[in-house]
Amino acid sequence: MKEFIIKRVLQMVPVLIGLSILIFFLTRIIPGDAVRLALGPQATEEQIAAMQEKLGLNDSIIIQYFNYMKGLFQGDWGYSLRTSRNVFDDLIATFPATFELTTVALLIAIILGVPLGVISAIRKDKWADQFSRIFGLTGVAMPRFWLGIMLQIVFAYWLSLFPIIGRGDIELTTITGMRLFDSLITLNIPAFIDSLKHIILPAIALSVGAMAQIMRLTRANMLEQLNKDYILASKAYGLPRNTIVYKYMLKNAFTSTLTIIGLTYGFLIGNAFLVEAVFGWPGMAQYGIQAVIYQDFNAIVGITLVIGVVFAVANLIVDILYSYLDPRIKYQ
Amino acid sequence: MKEVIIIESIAKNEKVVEKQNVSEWRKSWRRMRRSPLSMVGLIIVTFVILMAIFAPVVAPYPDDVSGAIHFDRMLEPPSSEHLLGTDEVGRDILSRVLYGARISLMLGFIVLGLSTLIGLPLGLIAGFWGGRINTIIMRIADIFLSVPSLVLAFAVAALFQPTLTTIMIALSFSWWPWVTRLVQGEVLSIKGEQFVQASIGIGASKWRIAFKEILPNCISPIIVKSTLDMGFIILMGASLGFLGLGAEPPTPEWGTMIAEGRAYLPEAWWAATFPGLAILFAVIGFNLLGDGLRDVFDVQMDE
Amino acid sequence: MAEPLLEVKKLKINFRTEDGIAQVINDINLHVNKEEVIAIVGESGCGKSVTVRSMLGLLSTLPAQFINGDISFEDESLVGLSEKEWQKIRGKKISMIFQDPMTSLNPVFTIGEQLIDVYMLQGKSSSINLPSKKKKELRNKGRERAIEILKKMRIPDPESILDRYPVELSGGMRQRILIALALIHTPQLLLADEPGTALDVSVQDQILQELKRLVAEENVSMVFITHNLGVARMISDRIYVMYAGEVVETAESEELFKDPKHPYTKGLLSSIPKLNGEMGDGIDGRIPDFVDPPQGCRFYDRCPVRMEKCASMRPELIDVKSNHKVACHLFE
Repeated sequence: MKEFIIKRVLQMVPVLIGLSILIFFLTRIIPGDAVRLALGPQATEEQIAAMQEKLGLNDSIIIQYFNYMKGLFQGDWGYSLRTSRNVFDDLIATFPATFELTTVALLIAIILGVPLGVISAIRKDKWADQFSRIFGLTGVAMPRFWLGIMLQIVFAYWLSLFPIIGRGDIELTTITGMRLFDSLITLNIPAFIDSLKHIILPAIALSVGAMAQIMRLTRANMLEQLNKDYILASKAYGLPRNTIVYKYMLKNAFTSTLTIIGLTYGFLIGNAFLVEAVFGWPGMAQYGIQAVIYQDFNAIVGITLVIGVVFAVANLIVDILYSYLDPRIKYQ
Repeated sequence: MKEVIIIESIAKNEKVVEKQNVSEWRKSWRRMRRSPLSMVGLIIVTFVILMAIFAPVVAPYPDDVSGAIHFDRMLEPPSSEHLLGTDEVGRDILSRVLYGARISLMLGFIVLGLSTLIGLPLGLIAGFWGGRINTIIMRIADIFLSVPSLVLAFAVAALFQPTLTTIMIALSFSWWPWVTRLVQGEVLSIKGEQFVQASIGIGASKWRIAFKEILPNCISPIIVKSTLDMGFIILMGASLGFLGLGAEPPTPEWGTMIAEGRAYLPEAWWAATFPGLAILFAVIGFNLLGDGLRDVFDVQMDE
Repeated sequence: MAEPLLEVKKLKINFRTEDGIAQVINDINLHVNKEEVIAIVGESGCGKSVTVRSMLGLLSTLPAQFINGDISFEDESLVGLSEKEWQKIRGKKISMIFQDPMTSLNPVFTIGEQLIDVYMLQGKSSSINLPSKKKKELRNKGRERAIEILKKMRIPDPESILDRYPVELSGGMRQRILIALALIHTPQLLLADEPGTALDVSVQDQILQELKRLVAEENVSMVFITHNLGVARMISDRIYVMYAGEVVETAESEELFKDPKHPYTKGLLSSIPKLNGEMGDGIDGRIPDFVDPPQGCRFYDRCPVRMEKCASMRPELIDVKSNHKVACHLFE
């Protein structure tokens, strides 16, 4: 198992380096003049030139890249044109919010999606199945930001059940930066409930698409299992229906579904951008959107790299889980 | 002796393939007709396409699509004059939604076209030549896929001037590796088939094999995937529009319309709601159609 | 002679297909006595698999329509049994050995898990409700039984096999596991669906020899399906030759080889490749359309010695010698 992990990590590295090169070079070809924009219309030519020098923009691209990478590993992720801080610090401040949101959304998607898929497959063509299939269809097609807005209108404005925007109003001590986790650990129950209230709507808006996808896939995989020889064989051995469905079929179906969960997490991260915008969630996505307006190229590179790493790690975890569940992987 | 047998089997296979093509289409149509959901998808997609084509004719207020401003009818709720209401500068939402179909569809087709233009040859080459070329191409594809598509498109679009063209390029940027992966996989599985091996054995030129034998077999998976992806790309395009990247106002892009209408919630709910419903509708249509096509072609591929 | 263990009388089975109703099994009769091995021989599509699956109630009801006739086991009819009743029989009284060792074992569970599950759960309505201590005892008994069976099959080092996954084992080993799964509860009747055909000829030969030995040792009856007359002769006491859903000839194995009567049987015999490397002659043509079957003999189109009456009149199974029946107008 250890060799497997090491092997996969080694595979990840060149890809991530490639990504860093790609995104870095893209940002250095911008036609716009970010520095001019950041310094404002009153900036003089000397000020602009000085800033460009400070940011190393006059060096050749290759040198810039190496300097950047060197700085990366030392915690210096470049100077943010907008916040005037080290991008690294900015990311540390905003990452936990996004991570918390996407992880909660993923959990909701799996915890609700898998059982729905199983039930849907077992009661094929009955009303539970029809209902789930409609849900599956619309869930996948729904624009997340639009869903978020609709949820806001109905539950926050009209019914006033949940807050409209933001992460939380009650103070709490920050340990990991994830409010739900921190408030639980410090036994700050009012803060926990408050954070829960704030996270519910955005998490639902974010998770619906993934939930629908997982549900559809689980259903399809379960149905596919019905045609498998080994399932027919287990029937022929006189095994009870519960064992066949919930043990023999489910494990295989879930293993197949697992393969897309890494990818699904990627879509969640991408869509987090939209949901954060709608709900004013102070995460990396917000940071990114602001970065766009200011053409803050260092921030954009930073965000892209962080997301790249998170995505790669998520896929790695999925692969490890998968090889744990399905013994055939080790032999390929 | 062996060569003669191989040549015969190639000729027979070609004939079999040809004969299959003729009755294949008829069989596919029959099978499609039997699935009500795919027919619904086909109807929706046709409807959306027609909506896009005939927008100038059907839209009640075609001038509202460009820079018109009507101070006298700002943010009016749905009525008989304006079926879907008016937006914050008094423009008819129905007309703008209809024109929005044009933009989203055009975006989708161009992005798919570009991605296929880039991705198909790369996948073909990677799968067929194999070896180091395959590794290099697939690694490059992996790099583009190492970040979620929306994020990459976002980053690319963010770095250039936000116009419709930019996001089309940005989306193609993040989409072509999927096409390459699909094609490469198809090529690899077809490469092992007997009649291809036989062709190689005889010494037919690699280009000829690639184009005459492998390519036609890749087409149906590409069509299925493109139809399924269309919905997704429309969603991504609208998402970028919502974030402020892409079409500048006053272009009636669905995502941008939602962003603009958002400021007037919750009272003027129609401005943000209807464009969203349009997106939902279109994407469902393409998904249903894509599912139907996949069922049809999958069965064929098994045969 | 004692009562037959299994008796099939006038069995007719239709299938609903895209093109219409296919008369797949057309009025067949056969029986198996205690401690006897019979073989059903025929080419693909002749209905032998369908016949054997119906003996375990494994035909899914939707495409299949059971029309007529009776299948009785130990003098009790198997027709119209509920799933619950079937479950008590499957794996215990009648058991099946599946054909394809690559797809008939559940890939994500260990061999031991699958064997022990059959031991513990066969015939139960749901998972076991026992105090955990008893459950553990049962498990251990199951493990012992599994090892015992594997030892009987002369599998080396059975304890370690229990912890392996199917993917780690060779095809031949997996086929032996399939046999073991069928024998765990020492059934009275074994149904063997062309076991080993997916394997290398020498491996298959080995396995069949072992199977023959086991069957004799355990005093089990067996219905053995194959398309290979040579194999049938080796393993069975009596043979039924099936063509297009009908029994065309039946006799004791040696007798059938010495004196085949039906033109189809003769054709089958001549198809067997000889030891000196000559390929067999084979029989031209294909099986008739089940949806629109011919009125007369179903072998008419391919029969080298057909007569006029064969086209319109269906031949009945009649005795030509003692214990040797044929369905052919030539012998009336």
